[in-house]
Amino acid sequence: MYDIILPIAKKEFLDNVRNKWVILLSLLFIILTCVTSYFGSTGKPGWHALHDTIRLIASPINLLIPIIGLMLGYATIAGEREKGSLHLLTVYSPVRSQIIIGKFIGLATVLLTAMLIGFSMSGIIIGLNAGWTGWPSYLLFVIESFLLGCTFLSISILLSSFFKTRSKAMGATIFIWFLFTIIWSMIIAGLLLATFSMEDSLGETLPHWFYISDFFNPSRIFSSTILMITSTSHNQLPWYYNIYSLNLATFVWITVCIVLSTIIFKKMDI
Amino acid sequence: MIEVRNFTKIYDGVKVVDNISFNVRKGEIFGFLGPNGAGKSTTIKAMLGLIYPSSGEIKVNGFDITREGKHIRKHIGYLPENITFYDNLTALQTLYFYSDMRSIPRDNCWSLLEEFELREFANKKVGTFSKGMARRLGLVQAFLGKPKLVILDEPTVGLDPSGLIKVREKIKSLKKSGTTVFLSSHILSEVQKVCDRVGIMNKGLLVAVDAVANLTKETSLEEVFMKYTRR
Ligand SMILES: Nc1ncnc2c1ncn2[C@@H]1O[C@H](COP(=O)(O)OP(=O)(O)OP(=O)(O)O)[C@@H](O)[C@H]1O
Ligand SMILES: [Mg+2]
Repeated sequence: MYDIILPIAKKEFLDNVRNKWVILLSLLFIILTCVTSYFGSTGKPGWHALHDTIRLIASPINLLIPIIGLMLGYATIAGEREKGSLHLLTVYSPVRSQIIIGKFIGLATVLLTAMLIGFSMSGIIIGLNAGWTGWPSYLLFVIESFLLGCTFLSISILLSSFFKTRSKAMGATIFIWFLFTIIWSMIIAGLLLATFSMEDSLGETLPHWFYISDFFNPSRIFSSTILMITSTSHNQLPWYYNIYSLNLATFVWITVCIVLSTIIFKKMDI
Repeated sequence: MIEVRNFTKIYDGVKVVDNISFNVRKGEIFGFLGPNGAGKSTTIKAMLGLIYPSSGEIKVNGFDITREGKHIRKHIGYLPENITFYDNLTALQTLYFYSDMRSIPRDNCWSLLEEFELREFANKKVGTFSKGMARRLGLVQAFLGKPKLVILDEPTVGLDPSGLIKVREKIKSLKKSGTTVFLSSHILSEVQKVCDRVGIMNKGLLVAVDAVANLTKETSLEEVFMKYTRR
């Protein structure tokens, strides 16, 4: 079974090494993290400790990583289908699901490599300048960012299997990004204002649907987990809303997207 | 080797292949003829499990290709009608990739490149290849790992005269080693030279299947073709 997955994963990874994406992304992570840590807050420039860096960088990362995840995957099936190289790939892999899994693993490795290089370099730079306290949180932050990337990668692979052409897949990708990172919070805020009166329920917790809706948006999952990692004082949260359940939701997202892509891809005429 | 039973393919309500049945025997060279749009490539794609029959079934070496394809795919070499590779890979990297996918040893890549006069381009990116060179690489890739069945969709299209001769000789040598070859083509003279039997398609129907020798007893293959495919 691995005899197909491995060559495909390897090819996807090497493609992105050859076209310099890996190194470009690593540089991007280094620059972003260091610049944020140095110039991040108002006041005079200076290095922030790892712990504070995470808090400063969480929102730009929450916009950037989804873009990267989506960009890595949106053309992986649709593009090959459009070009015609999918013919040979499919003929030579006895089970089609292995193509999807191989591509996911390969592209996730691209992300992982770039993040490991980027965040460990910037971690070391910040650590040397501002001290090492908070490094476990920093590590968790890197893991969560990777999972965020994997979720959006699996979403883009799903879109890539669903849409017949590269351009349609790209359109859908852009829509998904806007939906999850920008429009979503506006809608939720609007609903909250419309249904929840602040004066009536001062001091009460937010409604359940508000917390539950977070599980349906990988970007919200990320911001909540980062908040839990960095803040010490927890306000009243529902029992089902914690770092474990949020991470579990991430894995469910990835699994569902990959399984759906395989189902679609299996039924498809090439 | 290949059994096609009542295969029908419908695209958007149009029957592009209509209830065709035929067999390809082990070790024979089978030519698949027919005018443009007759349904040859569609049938070939179904034989490889790339598309699903609307009805009917296709067995390769006794295995249903859509359900049990995993048992047989490794032994099939395929040249698609429009071959495209990955532009950023070199010819050699491309062949290594397909060898790895099919878990076949990488060592006959070089000799095949040599055979199809691509050796000097082995380390050139496929994206820079001319159309004919890409076709040649497509052929090389189809012959990797000595497959038991080779399916070639218009193998000679875009090739120069020497390429044409190479393909002819390769097919003859494959026959000697017992390989089954299924090819579609519009070059009737080539088909006549290499094929044992042919099937002729017209507008989705299989209008004739017979030995080349039988069909051309009294007339040329060209006339036979014209007779069966008259509109
Ligand atoms: N994916 C598809 N969707 C809709 N129609 C299709 C599709 N693929 C093929 N067809 C139609 O099926 C018919 C047969 O096409 P096919 O490619 O099998 O012909 P062919 O015999 O290989 O022709 P040629 O000699 O030109 O290669 C054509 O009318 C074509 O338009
Ligand atoms: Mg064709």
